[in-house]
Amino acid sequence: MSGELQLGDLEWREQEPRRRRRAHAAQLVGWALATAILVAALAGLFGPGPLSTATASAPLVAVGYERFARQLGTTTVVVTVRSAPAEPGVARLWISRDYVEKINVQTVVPQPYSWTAARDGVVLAFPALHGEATVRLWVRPDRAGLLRGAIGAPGRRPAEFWQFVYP
Amino acid sequence: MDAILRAAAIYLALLVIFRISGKRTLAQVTTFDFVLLLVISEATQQALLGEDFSVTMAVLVILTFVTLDRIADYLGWRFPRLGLVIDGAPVVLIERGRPLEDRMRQHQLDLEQILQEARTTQGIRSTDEIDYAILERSGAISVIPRRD
Repeated sequence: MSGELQLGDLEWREQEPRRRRRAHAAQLVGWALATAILVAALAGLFGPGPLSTATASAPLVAVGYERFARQLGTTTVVVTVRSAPAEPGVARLWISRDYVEKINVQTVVPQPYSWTAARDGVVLAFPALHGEATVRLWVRPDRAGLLRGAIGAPGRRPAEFWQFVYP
Repeated sequence: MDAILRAAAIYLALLVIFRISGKRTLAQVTTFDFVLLLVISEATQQALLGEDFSVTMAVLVILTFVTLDRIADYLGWRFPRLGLVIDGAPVVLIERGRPLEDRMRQHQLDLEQILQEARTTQGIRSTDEIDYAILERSGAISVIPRRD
């Protein structure tokens, strides 16, 4: 005849129905949490998705961006900018310095005529067909955390926005 | 510094994910489990190293992982209750030849899976040759044959 199974005291205690039910309940909570995270991710809480897509506008500009981005991941900012009445044919875009300093601009389409340093930021100039230009910026946030930015036409009230960058 | 913090965050995330997903998740029952393990390690590697493929970075990350694992082992040994939280406890599935259905259900196991393990490890034909079957911390099922 074979002998009794030897387990530690704590291990035997884990075999009690009450403790097993508790462990099982903890696991179910964990699964529910994992599912919730996946659903939130599909909805765009951690990156592109309906919850994440946002727009901001100001005189002469409309900005489309993602509220949620990831550190070292690429996010796109789409700006439609109209040329100022005094300067037809050229659309100028001002980007705040605090935004430019915390991101790495990977690509800008179309290629701007010029990048100029301006008060508290940079100004990009683009050719404007029919008085406006749609500019797409591929941007890589370098730091995690809340990222505040402002984009506008030079000398006018800019569109302010925030992005949350996950680590 | 961020390399170490990143490695620590990933260690913690992996610990939590594999703890809640259950003992049998990647117990390499099928070839697919093995493939999944490789894919997971590939996905983890990118996050661990970022864009820095230097030797220093690799050594730092490895050192962080080994140290954290030692710390977790030590804490589990020093405080057995914490050990249960980190590693879980073995679960007796068959006791004295009697299958404990509710426990199998909780771990989504059935008699067929236990029998498969019994065949491969012990050369056992049927349930009445089994004295004990235990789902170990590792996710493996130990089968102790009946000796009459």
